Amino acid sequence: MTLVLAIMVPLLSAFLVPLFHLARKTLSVGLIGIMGLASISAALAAAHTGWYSPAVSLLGGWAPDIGIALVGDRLSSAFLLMTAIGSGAALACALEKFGGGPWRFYALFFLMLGSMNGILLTGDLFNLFVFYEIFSVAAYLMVAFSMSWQALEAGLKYLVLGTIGALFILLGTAFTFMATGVLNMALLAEALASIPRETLTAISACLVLGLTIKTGAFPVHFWLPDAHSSAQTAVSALLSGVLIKVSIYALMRVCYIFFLGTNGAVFLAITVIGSFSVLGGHLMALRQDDIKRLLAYSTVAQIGYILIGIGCASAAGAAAAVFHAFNHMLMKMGLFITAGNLSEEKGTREICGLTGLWKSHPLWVSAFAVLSASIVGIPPFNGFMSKWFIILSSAGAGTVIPALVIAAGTVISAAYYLRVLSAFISPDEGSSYDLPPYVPRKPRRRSVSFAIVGSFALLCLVLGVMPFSPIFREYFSSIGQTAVDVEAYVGLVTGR
Amino acid sequence: MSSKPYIFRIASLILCVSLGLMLFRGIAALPVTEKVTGPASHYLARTAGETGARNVVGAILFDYRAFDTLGESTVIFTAVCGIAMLFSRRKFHRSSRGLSFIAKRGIGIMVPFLLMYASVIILFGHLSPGGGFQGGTIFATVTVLLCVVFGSSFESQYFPPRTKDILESGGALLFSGIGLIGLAAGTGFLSNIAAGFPAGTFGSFLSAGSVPILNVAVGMKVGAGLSTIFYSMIKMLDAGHDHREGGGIE
Repeated sequence: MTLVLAIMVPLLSAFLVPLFHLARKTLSVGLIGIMGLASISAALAAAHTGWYSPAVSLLGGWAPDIGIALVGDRLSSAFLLMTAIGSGAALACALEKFGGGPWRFYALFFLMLGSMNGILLTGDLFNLFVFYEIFSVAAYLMVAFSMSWQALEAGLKYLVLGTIGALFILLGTAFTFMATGVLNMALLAEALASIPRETLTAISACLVLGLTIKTGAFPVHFWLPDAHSSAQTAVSALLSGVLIKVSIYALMRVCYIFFLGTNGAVFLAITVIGSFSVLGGHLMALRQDDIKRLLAYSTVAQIGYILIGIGCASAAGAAAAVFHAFNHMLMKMGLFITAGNLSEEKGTREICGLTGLWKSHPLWVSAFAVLSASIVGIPPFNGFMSKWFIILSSAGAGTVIPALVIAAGTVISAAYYLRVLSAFISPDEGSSYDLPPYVPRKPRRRSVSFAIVGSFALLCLVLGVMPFSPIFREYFSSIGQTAVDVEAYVGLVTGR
Repeated sequence: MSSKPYIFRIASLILCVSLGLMLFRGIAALPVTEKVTGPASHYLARTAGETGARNVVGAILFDYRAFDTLGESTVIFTAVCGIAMLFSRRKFHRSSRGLSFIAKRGIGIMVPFLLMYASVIILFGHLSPGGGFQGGTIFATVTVLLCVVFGSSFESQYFPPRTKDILESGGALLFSGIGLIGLAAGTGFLSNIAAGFPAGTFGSFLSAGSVPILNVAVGMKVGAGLSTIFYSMIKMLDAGHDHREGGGIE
């Protein structure tokens, strides 16, 4: 029962926003805050249910084969928690910056929140596609929201690439339905074992390609840097921190349930894509002068780490991938919010123009330092821990090359994050570039943004120490075991 | 022009052909079946008894897989919200004066019939081919015709954007509300006969429980939504037209 509320509360909020706007011209921040809190608590309630008592919710009361079933287990719960934290932070930043004015933006935000929870909870392949459509359309529009020409171009690029991805997902779904006649994922796990080899190849190629485009992995990443860098700060943080993770979840769920026992080549392909993403993303990030583009390319590389973890096709690899996804959400959201605020302050996004910030904003710069140390993978922080677990599981799965790629990528990322930090710390004078004169803007209240960045930086430190506790390790390995235990999933849905 | 683009074209041709070949092999490998199997056979055999609807497709859309339909109509809601957002900065000055007298009279005669046709398609969605999506599109067509023939200010006077917003959100809330009734009855979100909606006499107008209500909800959502999309865009074209007039072309 709580599962469907996690989808419906945000959707109902989105449907109500236009009516509230008609009643009163400007929406109050409090009203949107209440809707946001209700949506997030519904998601957390669903996560709680899924974690402690994995549940199936049959919509309309129909059996899973003829109707649609929602499934909440530990894997979906972990991702629900991740999206709840991330989207809550993004909503707080957006409310602080825009106030209650742009009501359509909030309608889109709630639609996106509902559809993300839908993707995380659905147990039906076509329903997954439907929620993907809401999610993607809302994402394209949120990128274009600032209406600058860069944002419109990025939104259009994202639209075209995203539609191609959706096309492949739909094609894979259609093939699956033609071959088996069912759409429920648990029933498909059984049915796919007995279909012709050629059909299975076509299905896996379509689904993996479609979902890879949506995650923004290296060969098909080129929509991501534009979209993530041109959007508003809160939206950039949401895109990099949360949206990508939802696509990661879809890839994980679909690949583990459908192809773990039937088509091992899929996981080799995911590992190869992941390795290329790590190298490609880091090398492209090294060349960027724009701080937000640098962070966006860094996202491509971090997606690569997660894909390598998924490609291990083991419980340890899946657990490491989820851990890294969670850490990346914290780190990248913090970095995007910091970078966005500091570059607004200086009026430029060029790294060489962002000088002298240590003097004026020591707290922001130290938060940035902690977060970037964490994302590079310096030992006491969480980034080191999750990368370490990914390397371990990759080596354990018998593939050493991805582990070496991760190590090489770490060195490159250290180079470019240090470049940003050295610009922040260097004094304001002596810049050889002709920058427009620095005009101090009207000071804006940013205490909420800073509270979020600060607490994320603290969490990075806490999560870096937590893996030493056996209880925590047990929790995380249980997520991995849930992810790869297809039989338990099928048993949960079919009730056998 | 060097030969480099040429090579890229050949490479992409090879890529496309091999992808197509792979997909074709996937279809060709499937065994040909003459019988309907799986959930499809269940739908064909049991729809009348389980949902009370005569239109099997309608029953699948609005009962067995109603949650998908809620999602699909929400995709339209999202797109409408976004298009209205992208075009909202253009101020509407003055609309065109529309087409000739003959066109206006002709459309004036047709509009009531079109409205009736759309209503029938929506209201009989559980009995005959049609339903909320199709009927809603016809409703939107009426507003588009009014916009083109009489000018957009005429259309916005009779169907103000405010009304459309209320209709669209209202449809969405109606759909969700029906779903929540099922949830409150304890039979699952969007459940129909099981939640206590009367099945009625099979084949009569009042039958199939919540299916006709959901059809109306989707009709409201789709009709108002598509009409808003058209209005947002033509408003901008009209504003451009106005600008040209100001430039002294007329």
